[in-house]
Amino acid sequence: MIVNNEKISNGQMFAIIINSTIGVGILSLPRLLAEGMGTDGWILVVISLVIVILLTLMITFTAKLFPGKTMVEFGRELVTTPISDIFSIIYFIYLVVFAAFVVRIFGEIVKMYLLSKTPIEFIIISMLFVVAYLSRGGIESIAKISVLLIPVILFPVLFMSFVLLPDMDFTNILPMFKFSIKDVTSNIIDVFFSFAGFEIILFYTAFVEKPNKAIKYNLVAVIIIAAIYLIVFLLALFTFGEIEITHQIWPSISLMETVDFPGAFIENVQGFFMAQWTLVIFSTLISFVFGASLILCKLFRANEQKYFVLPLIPIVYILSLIPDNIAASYDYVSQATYYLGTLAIIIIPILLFISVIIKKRNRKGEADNG
Amino acid sequence: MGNMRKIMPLTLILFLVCTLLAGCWDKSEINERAFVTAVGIDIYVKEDDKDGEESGEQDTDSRERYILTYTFPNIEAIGKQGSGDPRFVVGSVGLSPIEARWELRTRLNKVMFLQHLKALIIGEDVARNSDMLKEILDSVERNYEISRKINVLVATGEAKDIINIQSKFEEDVGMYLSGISESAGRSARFNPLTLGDLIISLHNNQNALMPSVIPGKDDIKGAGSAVIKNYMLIGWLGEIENRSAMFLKDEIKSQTIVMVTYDDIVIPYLLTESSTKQKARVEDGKIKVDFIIEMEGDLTQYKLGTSESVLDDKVLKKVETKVEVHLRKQILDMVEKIQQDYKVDVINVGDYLKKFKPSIWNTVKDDWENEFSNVDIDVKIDAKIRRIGLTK
Repeated sequence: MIVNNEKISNGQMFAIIINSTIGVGILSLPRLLAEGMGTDGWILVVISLVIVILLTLMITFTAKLFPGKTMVEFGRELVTTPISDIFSIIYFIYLVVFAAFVVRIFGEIVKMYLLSKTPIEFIIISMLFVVAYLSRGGIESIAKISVLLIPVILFPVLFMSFVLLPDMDFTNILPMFKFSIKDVTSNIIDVFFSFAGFEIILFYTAFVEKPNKAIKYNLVAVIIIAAIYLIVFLLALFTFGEIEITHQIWPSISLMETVDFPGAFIENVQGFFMAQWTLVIFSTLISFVFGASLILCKLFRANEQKYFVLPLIPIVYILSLIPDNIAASYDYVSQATYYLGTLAIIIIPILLFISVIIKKRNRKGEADNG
Repeated sequence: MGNMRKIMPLTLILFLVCTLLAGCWDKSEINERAFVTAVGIDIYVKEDDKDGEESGEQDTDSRERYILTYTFPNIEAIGKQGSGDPRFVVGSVGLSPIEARWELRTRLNKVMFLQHLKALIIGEDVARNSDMLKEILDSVERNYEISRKINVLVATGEAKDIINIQSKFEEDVGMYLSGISESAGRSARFNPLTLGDLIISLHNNQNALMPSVIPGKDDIKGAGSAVIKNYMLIGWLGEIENRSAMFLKDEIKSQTIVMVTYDDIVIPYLLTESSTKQKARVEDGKIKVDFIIEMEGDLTQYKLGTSESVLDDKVLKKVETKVEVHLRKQILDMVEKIQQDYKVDVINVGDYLKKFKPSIWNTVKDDWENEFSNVDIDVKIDAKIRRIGLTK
């Protein structure tokens, strides 16, 4: 609360939520959905959205009661310091592990499609340095970059919908509603974690100028995210059909390869899309790295967040290089999501929400008695 | 100010470093690249007198090897002052397509660049071998360089014969083939197929209709298609049969000509529009599938000096009936061939049942290969003549 470089508007918060949620998940999401429920995969997105909306409501409700405070601080008020600090450490590990995973997948894809001779270590470290540079700039620079990058995320999705239109087979969505409840329950977890990223609301609401109006913006943000996921899945389904999607590691990238421009001037548009996608990943990483450094700063009751950014970079870098190959990285991260993700996105927000309710009731009771 | 003076030179140096180093890491010069436009794949036939070839790794000695034929334009020959052969053709042997490509690196002073690949030609022998076809298609799909939009064709005979043809129309075989695919696709006698569509079709039901090309003297003819069943070529469909199959798959575009004779007069009926719908039902325990084809077209030729005028709805109705009967017979002949001889569903009946009649599909999906032969397929055609040209 020293400099005025600490306030963002609700609109900027909205951009940050979209940017931190859409990242590498969107590349493999159509496969996850098709593997789980075939042509009915879109239902998983809708169900996940309902859960995400509930959690967003809880998180925003909790966070806006403590203006100017991040979860690290208000957690101490709600559930005592030791427990709250454990929660904060879990969030810290979670953000660092996910940043490492995101940057690794980013490196793999860039190496595969663009820079085949460049060592992946170099791709990763250069990305991380740029991320560190912006994260040191504080929340306001991050918010401004996020707003700038919103069209970068939205435009390609709309563009792809138009150029792929002639090749689509809309009957690929048939047969509809041929699933059992078991299909939903066994796949919902994986799909739900594609929305991982919105829980940064817990930390970033502290900077929002008018937190009382935050709920509306946050809800619209998660709905837009779900809409983008749905569009990408339907594009893949209409273009490839349910069986072909399951054969591809990243169906969304294969979609780009299917785009055919008349004439030989532009042969392969992947280059263009990869550049755009680099920016999307960049914004996800910033939000994670900044979040992690913010937690450290508040945990140590320090004043300046920016000194905690650079020490994080080697940790993220080393973590990102631990998996031997792309299959191993997906294995590691699915382990991480099951334990860390469940805690960070579902259990801790619910616990905090419950303690807020209890606190409120007690206070009300005291007021009535007094 | 003093501070500024210190910083400025440093900044300048940093800027210079950026401009000088840009792009050097992954540099590859355009004239050092071989822009491969077409690849042909055949089975390598061993010749005993060729002892210069390495025998390969020992445990794989008995396996058949591929011979890949690449063609790429000679960049130096392009343009007005260009000289020399307009293109190069090189062949290479290997246990897998990628090994053959790597082996080529020892002989070629250029870097193979496949992102501009236009056509992949698969030799007949390779297509008849399901393992080889599976290997090739996996390697092609896995390779990020190769676009899903390239044309895949089956050569009658050897693929390298197609690559070796020096066409008089177009110097480059890859461009030539993709041009044929574009123009011939409209005539419906030849059904161009992209790699993406082929792989989708094979993943869905292990079957596909692949366009076939026949090498000529100095040109290439695209005609008919190869029937792929369980990743293996099992037969061919002729040009007319291919057109019939495309009618059933609703892939007919305009400009398809159907020739009918009416009163000994040959009448070309030029389609302007065609749409096919399927209807399925179960009757007496047998699946009945009806294809309902509705088409519109022009009468483009009659004959001078005939007593009947075509500016007469009754005559046109008769011609329409002729078209319907004629096409129906052609299509049913083709259906008979794929149902009885090949036993392979290349007209997407299974796909239709799965999407629109899941209850029927669930009863037959486990043994669709045999069930398909028992499906009762009928065709109903409604042809309309909309225009007759300028004369009566």
